Amino acid sequence: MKRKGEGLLALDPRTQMGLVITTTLVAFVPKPFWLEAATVVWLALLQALCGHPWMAVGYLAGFAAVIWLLDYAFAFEAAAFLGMFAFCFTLWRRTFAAVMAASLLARENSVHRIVAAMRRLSVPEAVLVPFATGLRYLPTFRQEASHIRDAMRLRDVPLSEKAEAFVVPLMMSATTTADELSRAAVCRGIENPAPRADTERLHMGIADWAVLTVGLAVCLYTLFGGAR
Amino acid sequence: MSHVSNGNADTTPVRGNVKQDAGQNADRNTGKMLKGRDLITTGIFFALYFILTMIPMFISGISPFIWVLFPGLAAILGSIPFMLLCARVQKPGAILIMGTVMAIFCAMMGYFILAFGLFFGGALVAEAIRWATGYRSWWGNAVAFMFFSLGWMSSPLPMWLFHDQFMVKISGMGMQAEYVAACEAVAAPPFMVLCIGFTLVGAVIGVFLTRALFKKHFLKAGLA
Repeated sequence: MKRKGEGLLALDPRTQMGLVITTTLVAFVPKPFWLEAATVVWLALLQALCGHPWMAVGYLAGFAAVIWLLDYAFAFEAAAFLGMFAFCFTLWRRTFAAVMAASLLARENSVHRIVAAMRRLSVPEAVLVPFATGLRYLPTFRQEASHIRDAMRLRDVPLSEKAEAFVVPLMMSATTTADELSRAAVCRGIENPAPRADTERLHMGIADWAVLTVGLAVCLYTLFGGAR
Repeated sequence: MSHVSNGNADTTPVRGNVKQDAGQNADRNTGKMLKGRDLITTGIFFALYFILTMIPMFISGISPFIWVLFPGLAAILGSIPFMLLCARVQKPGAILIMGTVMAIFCAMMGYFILAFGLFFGGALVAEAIRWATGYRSWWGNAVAFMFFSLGWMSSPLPMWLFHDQFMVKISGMGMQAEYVAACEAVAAPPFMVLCIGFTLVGAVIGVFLTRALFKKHFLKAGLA
């Protein structure tokens, strides 16, 4: 995970969460193209300033490609073979800014840092623990799935039984993992009611408040400012 | 009931109540409060539910008709981790927490208000049903899952909520008339009713499939 400080900006994870919220609030609100494009460019600029220039370039190129497909290529039948994906592209366009903000949050911060920020925002432990566990289990799932697929290949499982042969070992493995993790967590004091020490140095600086203000202004303008 | 292990008889029958099993992993704590192990179990089964329900989402973008069916398809696949979680954590709050975390994840994908409304609301109703049926009833948990599975309607719902803008956009893209007609048909209110109905049917199908898996595998392995 990239360390903070490698870009010109080092945003607090709470700022990035705020950006995710403001972009998702207006994802399906109709807005003029200039506002949509300005939001994408502004988020790309943030990504570049935070030390992820290639992420910014990739998202700008992706947005341009989606716009070209939806507004020009389909109209002139230049990409008619992709017509059945028009629905999908429309959805992507709607959620593009939200995905950009979420990608920045995920790239800039570890799970531990995100959880620490949510704890600072007074999110209950009863929500934080499953959230963090689920996030950390997602990469493990890929490994488990890969092992199960290899075992299925060795045993030459017939097609009609593949679904059952995949899901059942997956559930059993997940249950075992849950038991092991919970025993380890109990040993490490997960049930200790005392507040945890803050090992992450979270601080909202001037840049954070400025970014949040701009994000909130764009959100409010989209919702109430006659942007439609 | 025969307790001889053969091809046809279960040693641990599945009735209305999930039987307490003294197997190796069925060390459920059936106290009232969620503990650390319950939260971790909830987190892992939430991750499994999320992954399995995302599988039909990848194919739902191909056609608006498939997108309408997506919540039902997600319910068929998502029933397994949901019912396993209900069997392992028979306490108040687990499903509500799972719904809240699902709402947070879906909010990050752009369905903020809809996700919170549907997943959190569905989880609240599911939790109430589980409370009313005592947390141990298989069919109580099944009905709870039917309401929980409505959460994924947050995905196709914009098609009906923002119908006019959606049709203007599709029409302005210069798509073939047949495709525009298909989108217009799918964006009509009866398809929303179809979506809700298929979601509930999918939940029922998923519950019956999961029940078969429980009898065949999970109960014998001591997972539930």
